[in-house]
Amino acid sequence: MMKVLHLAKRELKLLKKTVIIITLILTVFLSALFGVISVQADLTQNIYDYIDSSYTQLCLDVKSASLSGVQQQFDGLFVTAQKDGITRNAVITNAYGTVFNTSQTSVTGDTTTITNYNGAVICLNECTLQSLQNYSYTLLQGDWVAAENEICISSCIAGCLNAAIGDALYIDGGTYTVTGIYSATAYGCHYLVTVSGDMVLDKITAYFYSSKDLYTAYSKLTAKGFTAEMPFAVSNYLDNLYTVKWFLTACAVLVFIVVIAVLYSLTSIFYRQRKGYICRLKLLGATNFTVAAVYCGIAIFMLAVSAVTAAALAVLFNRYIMGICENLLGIAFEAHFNFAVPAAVFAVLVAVVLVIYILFARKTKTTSVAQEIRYE
Amino acid sequence: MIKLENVTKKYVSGKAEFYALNGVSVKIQTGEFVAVTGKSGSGKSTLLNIMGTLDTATQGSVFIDGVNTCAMDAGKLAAFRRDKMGFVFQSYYLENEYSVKENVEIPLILCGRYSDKKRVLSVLEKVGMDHKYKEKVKNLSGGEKQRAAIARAIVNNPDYIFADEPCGNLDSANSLNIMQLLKDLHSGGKTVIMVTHDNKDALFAQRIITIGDGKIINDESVAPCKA
Repeated sequence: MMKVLHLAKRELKLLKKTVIIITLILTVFLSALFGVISVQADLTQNIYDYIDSSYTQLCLDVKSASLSGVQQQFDGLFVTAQKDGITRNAVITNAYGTVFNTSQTSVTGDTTTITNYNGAVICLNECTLQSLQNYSYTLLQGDWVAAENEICISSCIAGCLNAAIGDALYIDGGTYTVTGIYSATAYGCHYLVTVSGDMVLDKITAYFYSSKDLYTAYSKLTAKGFTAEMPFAVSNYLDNLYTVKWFLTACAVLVFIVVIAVLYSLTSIFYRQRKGYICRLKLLGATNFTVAAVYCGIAIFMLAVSAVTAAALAVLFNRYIMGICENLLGIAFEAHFNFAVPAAVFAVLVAVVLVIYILFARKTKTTSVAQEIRYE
Repeated sequence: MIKLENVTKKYVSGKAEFYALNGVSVKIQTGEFVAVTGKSGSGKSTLLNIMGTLDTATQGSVFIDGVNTCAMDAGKLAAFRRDKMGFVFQSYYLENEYSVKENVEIPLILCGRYSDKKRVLSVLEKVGMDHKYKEKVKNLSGGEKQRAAIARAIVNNPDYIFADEPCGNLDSANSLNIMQLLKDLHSGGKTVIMVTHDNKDALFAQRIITIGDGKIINDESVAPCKA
């Protein structure tokens, strides 16, 4: 290691001009790269934060789809499902075989029936109870309620709670005795979210807590061919975000490729410019790997100087790129420079440089130093 | 001791084959001063390169101090060469942009002896170049360059000195100086193997091996001349 450092130090003095020019080139490209990556990382979070703070209700409508078809995208969320004018609400939490929270709202004329169960609460208002009797809901077992502490439950709910006539249900601080079980419609929440299978709903509206999750679900559903809609303003921001992200990614990839090309060319420059010296080093007993390590060390030193300088310059690039993004997105935002980016990019580039020099060392491996001297 | 057993060096160019060395066997004892002479293209330099592990034989074995160098990989050969051998060439093979000191230091650095200033000064003194310590090589005369090259060759205290036409680019006065230096090194216990086409220079050696068409055609001991 020390011998490599000693030899590298001398070569650095000798190759001053080449080193300075290449370091300047690397600095310019690295500063652009750092700026772009930093803005991209911050931009995304900024947009999501902006939407989350500006919009109280983030929702996604999926048309003409079965709940089971889109269920995976809505795990843990509150959804409403519409069928024939009746809206059912549910919070889906792992619908495969476990109990979940649901509520069912059905409006028939001026009668609203709200059926909620948490595995616990089932309420029917008085009007609805009469409506149920009037509309011939079939009482399967027992009797309709006659007192305040009595309750009728649907067959779906009875099955879910494993409840029977005469059981006591503890609901919202009170105790109710089950007096009757009536037949539930096929469109009950329980049915919808566990065995909906082939049932196609008019619309499924999913409510999200964060715009990031909203966009992830939206992207997955549209990629699978579902018709999904978001509130226009939100979709506008998120589509622009998508475009800007791809633009910045393309820029970053292009600049990264240029940097790799510069580093590879640097290797060729070293080996060509110092061919004679390299021959003499091998004559005096240096191995291919020692020679490669000398120039690899110089390249890494240049990278380090470039990375530090570029990090400082990238703060300026950061502002410039932010200005472009603000114009594209139409909103003001702050994208802070992330100092972890230069460190990460530097580590990746050092690995690339090591690979390049190992390949060069293998390529120039020869047991005949005499031949190299002859051609030099 | 250097021992070559039935060494052949073949070059192939398309369908043509050319034998630079053809079944050469020779022994060089430790402490000998050997001159290898012959016409241009006879295989002298090839013989020197194979002995000096700068090239590998197509066939045959090369033993140096009992070690078969043909069985070594490039890395081991480099280490072997670094520790045991010094080289002097007609074209000096010095780094023109470095100073004399920086050139002479290189073998020390490769051996892990960094900044052994005393050693560098000592060998430069021996070859009469201590006053040019900091001078850039490109500013030296031919004779001075060759003396710097000899200093570099001996700085690691090698057992063997290989010299390929060391006086090829020098006038007679400088040639005499260089030959005297090599003779002094031999007197100091080094084994010196020198390739030359100049019979006057060959007379400095104790033994002259003559090569022709890749084979040894003569091998005789001579009384070395006193310069």
